[in-house]
Amino acid sequence: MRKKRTVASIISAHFDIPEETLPGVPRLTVTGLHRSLVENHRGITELSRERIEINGGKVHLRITGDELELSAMNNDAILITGTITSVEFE
Amino acid sequence: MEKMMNILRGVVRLEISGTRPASLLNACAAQGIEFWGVEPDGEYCVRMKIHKRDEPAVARLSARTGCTAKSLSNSGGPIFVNKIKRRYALLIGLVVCLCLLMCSSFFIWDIVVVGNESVGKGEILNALEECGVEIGSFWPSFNNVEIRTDMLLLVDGLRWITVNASGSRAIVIVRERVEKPEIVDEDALTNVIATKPGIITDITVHGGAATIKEGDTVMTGDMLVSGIVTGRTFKTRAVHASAKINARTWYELTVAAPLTESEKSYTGEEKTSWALIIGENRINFSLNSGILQLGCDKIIREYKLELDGLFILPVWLEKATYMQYDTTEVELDADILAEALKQELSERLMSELGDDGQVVSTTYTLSKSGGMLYVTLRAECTEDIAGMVAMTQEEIHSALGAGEDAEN
Repeated sequence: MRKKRTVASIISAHFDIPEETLPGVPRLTVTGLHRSLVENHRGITELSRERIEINGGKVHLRITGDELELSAMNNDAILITGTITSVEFE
Repeated sequence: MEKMMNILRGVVRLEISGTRPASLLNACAAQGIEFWGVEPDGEYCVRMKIHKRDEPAVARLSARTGCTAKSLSNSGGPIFVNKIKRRYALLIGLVVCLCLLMCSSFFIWDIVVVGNESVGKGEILNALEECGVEIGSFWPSFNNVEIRTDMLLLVDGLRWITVNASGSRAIVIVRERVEKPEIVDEDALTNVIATKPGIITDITVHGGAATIKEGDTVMTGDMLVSGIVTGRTFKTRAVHASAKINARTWYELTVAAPLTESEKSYTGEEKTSWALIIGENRINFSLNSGILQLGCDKIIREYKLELDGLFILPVWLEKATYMQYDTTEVELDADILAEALKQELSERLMSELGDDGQVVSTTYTLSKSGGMLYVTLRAECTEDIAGMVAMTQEEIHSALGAGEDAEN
């Protein structure tokens, strides 16, 4: 089955531009086990102490762990702290 | 810093309940409303903190997203200001206190003296009081030049002084006078005499005629070098006699100390008294707290209200602790005491000898009598015993007159 490619990935491949610099591409930065920064998001879909789900447009992120806390959030980025055990993409 | 800023701006802790509390969070983020410390509590409830000023906006958004926002607590600057807005007496009191604090920083409440070694602090403070520098004085009116002039006249031992005000503390920096060295008048007519008894070992004459030779025994006051000089080719004349005459001298120094001493042992009984000091006035909170108790050590501790370099208030608490003690006679170790006394004698000998003297031999003898330990030092030394004395007019005339007769 042919893999569906996004416009951003096509542009980044053709012009050799890093994909994360293009708008609409979610970016996840995990520092150790206790801090995770998600940029270019489109809102939270689920929020609990054990699981936080974030809508990244074409990608859906699920962060699971213990004592998860939404430390800060604005239109562009979400900072999650706590003990992160796994990150899944859908 | 961020926490402090948040507190100043006012913080509200909200509880958001609804089917999808995350939708309210998304709406707040989209509107640019700052929130933090989000704690989910189950699937349908979330707690978070926002600024006080954003509370109305969050209330509107919560209605739009189908959630309810309930305020759990309020804290911070705006809430505090609202609480005390109607408390006029408190506000006026705060303002008055701040004004008094600012005004009090223009007056001196503490004086520190720095740089004095031989001139006493009390003498300096008394003289400063006469110059207008004392507790409670208004420091902007100080004139350093006038204070310096007056103080140098009032206190002999000073050669320079300055007063610097730092908040409510006056720092007085002094420099003491250095004694001027003895200046020898080389035109004065002098004789050289012996300052101590001894046996002459070495003679070096710079001026005058020696009247002694090596090996001679001299007593204190004996003439060593005369200022009257007679020569074959010149008339008798009076000169400034000077010489360095080394001689063997002997010293016998004795010191005594008791073999027992009183030793304090604290009984454990203590008494505490408090007093409030306002400027130079004192308010005692206990009866008879100013009377020194016999058989007690008094330890005073002051609790002052001050910020170093900024201000010091003229009000402080004084705590006096009286600790009772008993005295018992304790016998001292004679050997240790003897060593200490020998050391004392040795230092005394060196101070009497001066810089040029040398110790040739020493002997210590110890004896005990009547509860006292006596240590005697006998020392043989070599030192310069020459001392200059001015010639009297009679001496000059009689010597010069005798000289003229001899020529004739």
